[in-house]
Amino acid sequence: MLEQFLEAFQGIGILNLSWGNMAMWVIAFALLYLAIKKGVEPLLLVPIGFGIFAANFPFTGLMDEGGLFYIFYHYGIENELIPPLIFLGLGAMTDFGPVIANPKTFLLGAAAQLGVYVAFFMALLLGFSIPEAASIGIIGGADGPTTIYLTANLAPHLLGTTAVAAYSYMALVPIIIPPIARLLTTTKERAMVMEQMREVSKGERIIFPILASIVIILLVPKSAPLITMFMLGNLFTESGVVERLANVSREALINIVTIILGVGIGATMSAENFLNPKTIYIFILGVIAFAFAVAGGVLLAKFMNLFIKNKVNPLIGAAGVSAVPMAARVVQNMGREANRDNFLLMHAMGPNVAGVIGTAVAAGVFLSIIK
Amino acid sequence: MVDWLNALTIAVTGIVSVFLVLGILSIVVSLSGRYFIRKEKEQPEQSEG
Amino acid sequence: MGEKKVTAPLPGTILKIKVDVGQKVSPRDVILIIEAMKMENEIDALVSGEVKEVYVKERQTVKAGAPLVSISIS
Repeated sequence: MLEQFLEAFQGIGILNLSWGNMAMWVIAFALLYLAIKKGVEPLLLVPIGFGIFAANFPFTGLMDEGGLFYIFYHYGIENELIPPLIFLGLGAMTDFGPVIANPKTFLLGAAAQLGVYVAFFMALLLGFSIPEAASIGIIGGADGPTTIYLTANLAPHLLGTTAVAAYSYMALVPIIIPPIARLLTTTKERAMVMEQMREVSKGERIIFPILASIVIILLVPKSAPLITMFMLGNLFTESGVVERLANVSREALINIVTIILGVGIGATMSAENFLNPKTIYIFILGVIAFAFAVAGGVLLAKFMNLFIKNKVNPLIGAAGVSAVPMAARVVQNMGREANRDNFLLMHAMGPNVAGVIGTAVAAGVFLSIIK
Repeated sequence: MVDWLNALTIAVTGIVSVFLVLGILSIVVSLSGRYFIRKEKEQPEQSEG
Repeated sequence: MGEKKVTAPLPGTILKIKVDVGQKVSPRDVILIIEAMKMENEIDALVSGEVKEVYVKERQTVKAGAPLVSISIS
């Protein structure tokens, strides 16, 4: 009888809480603190932080096959369901007007993918495998759902780390962009006022998601899950006839799936996955990827100006790092700092949304050749 | 050991594809933009006639 | 002398109008605030003079280039 009692007693959680579990709790609390007190990406970091906390209790079975968090993770993330659904909502929120009015800014969104490839090579040098390096590189695209989508596919053991790195750097966009953009531009360049954008008609806005789908998916078929949902969401909004679907996509649906996504990602963060030197490398590579993305966008903008008549303010190239719309806001502030009558916000939205497409394409290419 | 040739292929394919896709998109969108602007200009004349 | 029309440098919603008709303004006075992408953008008078007419109301959405305020330059 005593033995049975002792056995039952051993199943009590508190006696089985490992150091690793407790260390992960510290990380969970740090993320919750950042989200709640500092306002760092709270929509994601609150569910992720709590997910880490909850998944690091002993004996809960939350992450065992059939457990609640396992179901979130397996059916939502591993099956690649949620990131495309988030893209549906993002598409419904996105205004492609600025990039339709000034199509050359698409190229700035492409140039800002430079960071992805720089980080990819640096990760390989540090000893990561090719699929791991691709997942780390994509952090430089500054696009959370795309990072999650690609990592779940290529290197699921890194999922928690790349996701947290991507979202925390997005929150750091106001700190990362200015020094690099300032280094690469003169005050005169930053002060440059851009010509007012033309008005984009409704017909053009409706045609755009269809034209874009044709071009992108025909060239990079593997980007289809993200791009189709992105463009469908946008068509919901721009068509004007399915306001209900547009609304639910950008509000209720995206919120619901964000909860499942956040908790599911947090739950993958066990001590053995997270508490190793690779995590530190990933965070360092992430910031390098970001920095090169900014530089790529700014430098291409300067290069483009050598050839084109309607010059662009090189600062808007920095918005090519996606992180919609924070990057565009940072550009607006920097432009205004150089010249109080300079309003770059809408101009920066062009490269900003082009950057989202660029990152999805980069992810699609990785998916089609790796594995 | 990293297969550097493979890695290089992946990166080059990636960069080329990203620029190709967004470059073509840029051309397609500016062409469709031109079409729409022209159509808009014609509209008032048509309503008069 | 003359009149200056201040136009919206970017599309958005008029959040606050800080001047009234007849008020004297100098170039760096903020005449109104336009909210775009959840960002408040202060719009300056750009000239010194007297506000002659205000074309917009608070909470109204404006397109880029829409006239906001006219100022008779002194």
